[in-house]
Amino acid sequence: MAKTILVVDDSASLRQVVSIALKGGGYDVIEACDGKDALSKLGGQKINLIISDVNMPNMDGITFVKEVKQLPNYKFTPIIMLTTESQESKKQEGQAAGAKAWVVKPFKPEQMLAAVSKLVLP
Amino acid sequence: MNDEPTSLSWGLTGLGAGAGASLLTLAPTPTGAIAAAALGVLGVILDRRAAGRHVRLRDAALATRQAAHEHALESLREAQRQGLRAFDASILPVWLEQLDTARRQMDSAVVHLTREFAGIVNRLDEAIAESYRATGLASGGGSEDGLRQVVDASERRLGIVGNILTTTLNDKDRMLAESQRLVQFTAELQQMATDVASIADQTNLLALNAAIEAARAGEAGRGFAVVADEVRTLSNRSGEIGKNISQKIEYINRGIKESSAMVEHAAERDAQARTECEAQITSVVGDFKVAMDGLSASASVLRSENEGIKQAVAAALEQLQFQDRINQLLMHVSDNVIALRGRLADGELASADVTRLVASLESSYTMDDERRPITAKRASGASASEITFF
Repeated sequence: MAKTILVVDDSASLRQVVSIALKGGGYDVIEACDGKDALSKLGGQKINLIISDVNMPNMDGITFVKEVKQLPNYKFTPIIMLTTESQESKKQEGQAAGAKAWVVKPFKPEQMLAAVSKLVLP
Repeated sequence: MNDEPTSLSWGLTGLGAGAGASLLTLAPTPTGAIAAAALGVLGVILDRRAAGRHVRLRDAALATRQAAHEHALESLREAQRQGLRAFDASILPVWLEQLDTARRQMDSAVVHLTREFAGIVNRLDEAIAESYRATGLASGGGSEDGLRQVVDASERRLGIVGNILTTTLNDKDRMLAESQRLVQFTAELQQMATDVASIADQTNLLALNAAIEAARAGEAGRGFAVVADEVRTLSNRSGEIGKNISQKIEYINRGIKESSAMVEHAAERDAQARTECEAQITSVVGDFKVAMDGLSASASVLRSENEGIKQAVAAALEQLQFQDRINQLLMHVSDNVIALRGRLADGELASADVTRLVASLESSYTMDDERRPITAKRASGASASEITFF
C-alpha cells in the first residue's frame, strides 16, 4: 500500500509540482492550501510524512508544525519545511518547532524524493 | 550686488578728496588746506549717507523677492502635494491592481501548465506500460527477457516436434531392418523347402526300387510292395507340399520386399520432411528472433527516451517553481505599495518615511535573490536546491 504524504502550500502550482514529484516516487498525496486547511484534512487518517511551506495566509508553516506536534496521532509524523526562506534564524525556528528537514525552493525532485524516503514513516 | 554701495561710497569719497586736492593746488595756503580737508570729510559723510540709503533700498528689494520666492515655493509644494495625492489616488491603485492581475494570471497559467504537464507525464507512463503489455516485456526496470523467454520456449516446443519426427523415422528404420532380416529368413525357408522336395524325390526313388525288389520276391514280396507303394504316395505328397511351401515363401518374400521398398521410400520421404521441417522451424524461430531483436531495440530506445523524458520532467519541475518565487516578490512589492499609499494619502513623504518603507520591504524578504544586490542577482540567478536535516 502506497504511503501518504500531506503537502501544504498556498501556491496551487507548487502543490502540483510537489505532487507530480511525489507521485513519480510512488506516494499518495493529499493537498492543503494553508496550515488551517491542513489541520482540517488530517482527520485521524494515516499520514506518513508532511511537507509544508512556511509563509502562508491564515496559518503559517511554523505555527502549523507546532499545532501538529500537539496532536497525539501526529506528534511523531516527520515534517519537511519547503520554503524560499533560507535564513539561518528561520531554519532554527523550524527546528525548534519540530521540523525534521528544511528544503529551500526551488528543489530538485530527486533530492526531494531522497529526503522523503529518508524520513517517511513505514 | 553687495559691492555696489561700497563702490558708490568710495566714489563720493574720491570726489571729495579730488576736489580738496584741486583746491589745495589752486590755493596752497593754510585756509586752502582746511577747506580741502573739509571737502574730503564732506565727501566721506555724503558717501556714508548714500550707502545707508542704498542698503535700505536693497533690503526692501530682497524682502520683496524672498516673499515672491516663498509664495512660489508654497505653490510648488501645494502642487507637489496635489501630485502626490493624485498619484496615491490614481496611479498606486492601478499598480496594485496590475500587480494582483499579473499574480493571478501567472498563477492560473502555471497551474494550467503544470496540470497539462502532469497529464503528459501520465499519458507517457500509460503508453509505455501499454507497450510493455503489448510486447510481453516486463514493465518497470525489466528487459526483453519476457519476450526472449517466449521465443526460447517456442523454439524448445518446435524442437520437440522435430524430435517426434526423428523418433518416427527411427522406428521406420528399425521396421526396415526387421523386414530385411525376414527376407534372410525366407531365403533359409526356401532352402528348407527345396531340401524337402529333394528328400521327397529320393524317397520316391527308394520306394520305386523297393517295389521292383518286392516284385522280384514274388508272393513273398507282395506285402512289401504295398508298403513301397504307400511310401511313394507319401513321397509324392511331400514333394507337392515342398513345392507349395516354396511358392508361399516366394509370395511372402515378394511381399516383404515390396513392404521394405515402401517403408524405405516412406523413410526417405520422412527424412526429407524432417529436414524440411527443421529448416522451417529454424527459419520461423530465426524470424521470431529478428522480430524480438527489433522489439528489444525498440523497447531499449523507448526506455532510453523514457529516461531522458524523466530527466527533462525533473528539470521542468524545478523550473516551474519560479512562479512561487515571482509570486512572493510581487506580493512583497504589493505590500510595500500598500504601505506607501498610507504615507502618500496626506500628501507628505519625508525621507524618514522612505527609510522606514525600505526597512519594511527588506524585513519581508525571504529569498537570497531579494536580499542580494541586483548586480549579484543578475550574475547568479536563483540559488540551487538546498536541504538541511535537523
